[in-house]
Amino acid sequence: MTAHRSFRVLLAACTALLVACTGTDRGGSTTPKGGKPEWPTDATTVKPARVEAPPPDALHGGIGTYGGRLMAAMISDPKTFNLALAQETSSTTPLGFLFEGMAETNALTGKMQEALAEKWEVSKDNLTYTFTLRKGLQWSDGKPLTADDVDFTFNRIVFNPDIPTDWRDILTIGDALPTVRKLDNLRIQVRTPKPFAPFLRTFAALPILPKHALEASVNEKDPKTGKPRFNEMWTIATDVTTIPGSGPFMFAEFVPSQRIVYKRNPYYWRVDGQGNRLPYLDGMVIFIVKDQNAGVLKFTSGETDVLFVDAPLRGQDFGALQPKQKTSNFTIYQAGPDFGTLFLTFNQTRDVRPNGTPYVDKVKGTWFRDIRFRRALAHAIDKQSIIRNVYLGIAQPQISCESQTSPFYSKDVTVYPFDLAKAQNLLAEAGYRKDAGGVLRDPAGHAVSFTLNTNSENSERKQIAQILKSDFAKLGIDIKFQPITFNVLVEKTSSSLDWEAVLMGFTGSLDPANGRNIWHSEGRLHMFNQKLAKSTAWQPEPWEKEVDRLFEKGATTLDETKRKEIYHGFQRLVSDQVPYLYIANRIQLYPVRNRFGNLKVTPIGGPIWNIWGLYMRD
Amino acid sequence: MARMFRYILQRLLQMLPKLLLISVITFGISKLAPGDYVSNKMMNNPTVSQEAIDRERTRLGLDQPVPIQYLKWAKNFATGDLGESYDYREKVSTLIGLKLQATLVLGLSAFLFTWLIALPLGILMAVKQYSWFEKIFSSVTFFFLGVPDFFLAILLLMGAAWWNQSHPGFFPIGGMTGPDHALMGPVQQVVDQAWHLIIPVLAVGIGSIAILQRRMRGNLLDILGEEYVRTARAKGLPENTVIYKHAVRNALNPMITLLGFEFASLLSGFAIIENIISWPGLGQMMLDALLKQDVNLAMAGVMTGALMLLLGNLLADVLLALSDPRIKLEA
Repeated sequence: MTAHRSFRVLLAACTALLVACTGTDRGGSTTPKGGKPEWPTDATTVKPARVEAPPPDALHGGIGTYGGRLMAAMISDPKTFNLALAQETSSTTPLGFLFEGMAETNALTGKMQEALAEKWEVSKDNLTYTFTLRKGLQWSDGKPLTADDVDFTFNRIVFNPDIPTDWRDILTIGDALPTVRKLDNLRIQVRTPKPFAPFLRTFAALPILPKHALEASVNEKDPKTGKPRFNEMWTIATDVTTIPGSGPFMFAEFVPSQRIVYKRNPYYWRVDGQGNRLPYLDGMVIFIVKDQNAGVLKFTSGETDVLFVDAPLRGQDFGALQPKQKTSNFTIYQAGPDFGTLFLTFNQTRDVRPNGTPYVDKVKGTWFRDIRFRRALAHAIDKQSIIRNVYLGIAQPQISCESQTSPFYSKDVTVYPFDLAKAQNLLAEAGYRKDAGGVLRDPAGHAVSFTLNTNSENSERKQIAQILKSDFAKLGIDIKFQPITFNVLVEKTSSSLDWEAVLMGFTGSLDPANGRNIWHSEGRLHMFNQKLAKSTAWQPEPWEKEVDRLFEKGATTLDETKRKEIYHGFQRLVSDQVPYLYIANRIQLYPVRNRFGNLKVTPIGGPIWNIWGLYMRD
Repeated sequence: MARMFRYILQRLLQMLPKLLLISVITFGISKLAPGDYVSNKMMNNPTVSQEAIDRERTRLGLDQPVPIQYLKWAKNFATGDLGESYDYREKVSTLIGLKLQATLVLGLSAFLFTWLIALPLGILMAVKQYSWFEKIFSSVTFFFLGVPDFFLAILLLMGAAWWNQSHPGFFPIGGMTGPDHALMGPVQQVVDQAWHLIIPVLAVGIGSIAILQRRMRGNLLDILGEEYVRTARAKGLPENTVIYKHAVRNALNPMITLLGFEFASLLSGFAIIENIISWPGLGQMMLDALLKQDVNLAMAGVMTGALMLLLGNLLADVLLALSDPRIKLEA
């Protein structure tokens, strides 16, 4: 009796609680439709003022209408809002909507084009660049953006030895830095120590930081460390609304591990073809969703319009999302292959340890340095099977060492299609024989077997390594597959050199000159024949010296056509030598809700590179 | 009371050597792991130069011998300075402050949810032993115990996403508050928060209901078999008084010990599930710090966890002494 009563009370209490929750919701907690957020704008102009004489090519697309918000998601947390100190895309991506450089990469062509600067001139000796800023530029707090800000960004921040910014490394040419001088309020002159082709891409694209907001922090020293207070500026604990920017948006709110809320920068410089000041959108929200599955659910549930701004779609999600395109009103855009590389490589070093023993077993070293051996194995990799099974079809074979998206990419290279007969012929030519037991033996009679490492955190690479193992088994080669943690792997390839073969990847970029650390024979990531500080018997092959020469020439030639020739030659040479056996590139897929005008998803820019031109169609 | 106070003080003092030992062991183990924060983050990026890598190591003091690194950390820790996170370039104490509220909100809500359901349920199950009611409810709770909480979270989110297709925007898919939370009035804010809590609390709490109710039921059944209960019934006390005044009070003692452990998990219990439901808690930040070898932040996480466990035990002992006069506190 009593038990009954207390149970009923309990049940009633529970339902009451539930009703209380369900009954009052909806209006309150969910996203306002049609996007009329009322984030306070402190600027004087609420409706952006029109601008006279729009610059040519102001907008790739049609004239839009004002209003609405874009909802997106991001996988990782921003770590800092101090762009000069940011080292990860999860910080630079959200800040990219706030800060722009003097020039920018055209997301359609990959070429450099004007941004904050309206033009630049290069002197005859290719050493001096003169940039002219657009007139009337303003920061999002209304303060003017002038050559003083550029001068401050380079001379006080980037070139400041007390500020640990990676930008200084990017700008170092040889051993020297360029000099930056303000000529007048709009013009800046830069002298480079020697002609440097990637200069525009690295220097002119660096975001300009606001002098009026940061100067004091650069001047003041932290009494504890003796370093400028700038190094502790704009962390994730900062009130983000105080950060002035030059990009299409400014911060309205940041909630750690939850979301970044943006509102329009009323002073943004870009205008559309009719002189209407951009952006069209009132704002944007980027949710931080660390679990990819939850991100996909958030997208199908209609909470976000763009899945991830910092990562393309996974193969398995493509399968789940594709049939829902019609009913959930979105389209999956293909944006070409990924920038990065994925390869199998062998340790070819002849170097010895301080005690005289070779880093790589002598017998195995001779296999790895034999070009016929490497070519045979390249032919034995069944890339299509990897693409089908690991990437679920959302990838394409990689043939060149440069990204396919790069303007310097060349198709005119030696390719290694899957061909077991050819692989066997090549091995036979080199004197390798299969014995009665089906085991491949080298000319001296040693059974061919080696250890393959990859980083255990990456499940795709582990699957690919298993496929490689079965592919090579067909040649009679026994692979011992050993996944190890990323840190151990890096320690092996960069300092202990205690490895035989690895399956690994590098991030790619638009300009081959950025790969210098990988390709220069003395580079930090020249891992198939790594030089160490303590090396005694290290020696580069003649073709590696040739690559060094091509890189030197490519970096100092400014003529685009000649540069292309140089890097095409480099790609041919490398594909011929196969130090890296390339596997496949994932195809970037971006699902986007069908509600935006001017949308143009590109391999370089992803889905929202032209966020300033997007507008809501409904 | 003075005695109690002295006991608490003694216990707190005993914690110091324990914490010291824990810190030495965790610091040592974290340094035994291959690589460091810098190799994790910068080594495989072709645009980063060796100079930049060396400079970063020097800046963070990672180029010094491990014992020196530990002593530096320990000295700062002793003076209440948790140091700066490598990854965020911000004070660890500030970072913890940013996430503490979210962790406590989820922890306390889940705690209330499980205990408020499990204790009455356990009592009912003991009273209604072998009834259809007990069989059904214990099957249901045990089913949820068997489902891992992160999996349950995904299932709940999938259900919510499915429901949202016909009722757009009904359930939030993860997150602690809606995107325009800051623009809402105070009442709306509370509702918004509560609405976002439903799925997380269910995911975190529903599994532990089975354990708690089973404990409560078992304790109460033991007590109900005691002679004094039979005596009480024999002398004609109403059944309610027998159960709720005498038996339940005694059955609660072991639960209080359990409470201490629950307290420890308040701050560190939900690392994986936080990722799935996008909850901005301490757990995921600390897990991330451990994986990235962001030493100061990771150490702060481990030390907080250890401290909470020690304090939780103390709390349980004190509560036990307060609720049961037969228990004497002796250090």
